[in-house]
Amino acid sequence: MELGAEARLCVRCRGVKSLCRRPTCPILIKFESHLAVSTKLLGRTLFGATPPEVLVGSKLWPQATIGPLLTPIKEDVRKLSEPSLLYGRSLDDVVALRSQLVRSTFKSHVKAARKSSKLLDLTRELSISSEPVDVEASFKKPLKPVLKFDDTLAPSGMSGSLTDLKVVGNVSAPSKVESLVDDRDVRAATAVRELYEYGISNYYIVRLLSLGLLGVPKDRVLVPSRWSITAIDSILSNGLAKRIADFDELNEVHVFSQSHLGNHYEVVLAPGPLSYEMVEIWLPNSVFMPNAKSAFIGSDHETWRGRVDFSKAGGGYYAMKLPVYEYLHKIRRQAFAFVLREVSSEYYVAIGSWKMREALREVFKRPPRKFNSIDEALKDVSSRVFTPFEKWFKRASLLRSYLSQAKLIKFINRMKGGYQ
Amino acid sequence: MFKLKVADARFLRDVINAILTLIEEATFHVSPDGIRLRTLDPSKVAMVDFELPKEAFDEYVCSERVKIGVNLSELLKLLKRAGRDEYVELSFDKKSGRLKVSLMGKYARTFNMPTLEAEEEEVPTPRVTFNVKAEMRAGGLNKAIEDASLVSDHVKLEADDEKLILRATGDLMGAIVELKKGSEALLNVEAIESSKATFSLNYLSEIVKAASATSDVVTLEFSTDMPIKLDFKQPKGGKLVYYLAPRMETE
Repeated sequence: MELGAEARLCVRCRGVKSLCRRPTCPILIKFESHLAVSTKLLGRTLFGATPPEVLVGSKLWPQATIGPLLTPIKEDVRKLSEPSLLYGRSLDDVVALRSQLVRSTFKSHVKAARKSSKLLDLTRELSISSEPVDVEASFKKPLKPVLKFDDTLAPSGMSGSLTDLKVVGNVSAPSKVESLVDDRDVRAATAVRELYEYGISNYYIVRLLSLGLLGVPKDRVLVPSRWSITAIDSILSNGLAKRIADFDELNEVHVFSQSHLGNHYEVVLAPGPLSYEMVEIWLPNSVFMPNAKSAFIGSDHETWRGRVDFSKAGGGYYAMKLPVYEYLHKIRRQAFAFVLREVSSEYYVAIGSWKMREALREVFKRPPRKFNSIDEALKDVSSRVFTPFEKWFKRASLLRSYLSQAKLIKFINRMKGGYQ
Repeated sequence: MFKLKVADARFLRDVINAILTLIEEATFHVSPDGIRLRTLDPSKVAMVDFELPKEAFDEYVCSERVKIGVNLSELLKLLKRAGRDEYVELSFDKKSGRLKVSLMGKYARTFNMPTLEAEEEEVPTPRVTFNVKAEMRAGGLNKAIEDASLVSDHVKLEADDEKLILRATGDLMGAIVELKKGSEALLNVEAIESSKATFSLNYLSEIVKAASATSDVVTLEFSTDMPIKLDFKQPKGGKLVYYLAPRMETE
């Protein structure tokens, strides 16, 4: 293999696809750090709380390793889990906060979600809650203090297999959540959109979907968190797209930019029917690019027709599409949306896809820079991007077509003016 | 009163699918002579010009002109339920504004769907002087375009009196498809002057893939850096013509 070829494999895989055929990802393993066991952990039991947050693992599918994330500390539990509260902290802080979470696990077949079992029922009960829940957990062995990292999922600290779980605190949920969890006549995708329109956060909906708590009986299977995250991004943004298609086109070019935790984002919104393109640049020595000599550039797009196949660019494509579509829906305009993400060596450890969603939600809170033409906008954008324009521009298929495609209307109007 | 019947449901399904490549919501102009539709895609880059005269149907009744706006993907969903050898009946109830879709054969089922507000504006077709005219097997054109799509998202067409060349240049790879006059794919080519123009494969491949299901022979007409016209020959006096504006590649 040529030098750096393995690194290219890694950036395409990001610890998910086992492209190198190793059982565990050597990059992610490298970052796993051994923690000092918390003094609040007494033997094999934990008295604490869950934000709530639940992880459903995808590695053994159709078996799933599932369980709530718990912390021995009862105060301020939400700040460990809620992406909008994690946003703005340094990478080290995020890792330190997340390391306080203990991943409790038990095994279940994904379809067993249709039946009742004690640990699963309790996990579901606490995961329906919108507020932190006090719990008591017992583990098979003393907890193993290891930090786990992932490209899509937020990191977690120790883990241990559950022998018993008690919900000691109150579980409270908005009535809308309770009624859709109880409703077995409405399809999961419809329930997802209803919850979102009601104002329930996408992260809360991810949790409900991954535990098989939404939909008609056959929809109610356990969905690995990784898949559930992307499914929710996709369902919600496609729902928004249908409405956005009825809005007028944006009439000027808007640029938003933002740097956050070694990830630099540029968003260009330009007049046109709704379409979306993402270009992702991984610079050498960013998390999935050890020993790489040159940057890796990936891209994907969809036109107003939308898409049915899964993007080869992975979960980040959908994680950034949602906030962009939320913004277009908010300003009631359709546009060609181009998103560029450049990942530098400052991003040395993977902390999950929430950082992209939250970074873009944040950037849209500020006013855009406005331009009369996309050429001016691109000049502005490339002044802040480390990788030379020509390098990433040639990978931006939709953007290139936006610049070079003539309109048919031009040839129709010519005729009116007496052209030939 | 408007009602039509088609003995082969698949014919109607393929035609709707071919229009759907450019537009999701379409306005059909229905008259005693037949049905027609002409529209630009949302990006105003391509146009479809479609007509089916009353003779193309097994039964056709229309007492007055009416415009019917239809969501094509919803209609296609219903038409896809029809099996081989089943026939379709469409009728429009002006009062309720609903379109009735009946599929008959093994058993009868009737769906009804809402219609949409009709577009008032009708666009004229671009009138370009075409210097090249090529007659091709639709399947052959489809294959050539699939070849080009492997390496790039746009393709340059070059033609003279002897041949038609498709040239695609991608990030890493390139492709050249050369079709000689009188070959299996290229039935005929005439050129007033040799011409070349570049087109988006996003559009071209969707159009050609869907439209070649409705037709065996397609006539291409283009000129240097001008729109291309693709005329997919239809049975029984029907018309399915596309126009696609060029890409101006700076190389």
